[in-house]
Amino acid sequence: MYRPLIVTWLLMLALLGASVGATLLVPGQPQRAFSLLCATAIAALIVGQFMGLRSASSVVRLFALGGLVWLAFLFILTILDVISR
Amino acid sequence: MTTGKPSPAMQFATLGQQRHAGLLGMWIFLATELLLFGGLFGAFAVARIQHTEAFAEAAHHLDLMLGGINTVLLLSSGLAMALAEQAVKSQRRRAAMMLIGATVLMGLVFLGIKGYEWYLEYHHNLMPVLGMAFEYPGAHGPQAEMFFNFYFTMTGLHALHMAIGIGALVWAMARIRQWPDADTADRQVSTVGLYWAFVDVIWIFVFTSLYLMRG
Repeated sequence: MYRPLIVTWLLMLALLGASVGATLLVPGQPQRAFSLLCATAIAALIVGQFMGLRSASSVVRLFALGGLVWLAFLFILTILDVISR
Repeated sequence: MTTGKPSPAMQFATLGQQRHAGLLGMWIFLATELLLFGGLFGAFAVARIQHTEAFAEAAHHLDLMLGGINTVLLLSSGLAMALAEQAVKSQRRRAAMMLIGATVLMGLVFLGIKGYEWYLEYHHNLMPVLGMAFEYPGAHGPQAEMFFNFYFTMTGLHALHMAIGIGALVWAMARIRQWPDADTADRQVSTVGLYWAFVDVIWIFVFTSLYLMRG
């Protein structure tokens, strides 16, 4: 029961270490993308395991997905406007 | 005070339905919180694209080690809270109290370190809030001031959420101590746990955006 949570925590620490390590060793655009990818992976682990979305009902999953969809609209439309000017 | 077998509130047919409604309500609330922080992150992303060099330079003035320690603390507090939820489910009250206590302690240490970081930035005149002097040693003063405005807004809003979360955790500890019944305790602790984990998620992106985008 506790083991998946501890494994998740260790994975998150490994991802954090990789992200900080890349920042210190090879700063630049690829590192920025890598760090954002690590942050997204850590967030997914928290949401899936600590917040229990993996085992949540389909209605809860739908509402969580709804939040992400609106966030995606906000980001994509804003960034597209900036980079296409 | 409850006696005998626990029963759901009058508007629910079963305890399961009540639990589901509570968790769904918290997820809806968190979706609105996501959009609050999303607007802030969106504005930061636009400024970051427009002032890439200046923001990367300004990020070097943040303390990566303190930020990293705080991130480890918050991820560990997330683990402690998730373990506490499991302990409540298996009705291990003492373990749950200790784990939530550890979560509160790590949250308080996080806020203490954050406060120390703010003090350092104040000491170096890098705090452009409340009319305080901003004296930046680098080449892109006005853009760096914008970076630090984002920094204090994002970390300040996050710290406010942390403080609210710590209050909710203390309330959850009081509920476990009272132990109305297993279902109620489980529902209430799970709801607080969702909020605390969300605060973790937000910090991961605050940390990455501000501290790790320095190249």
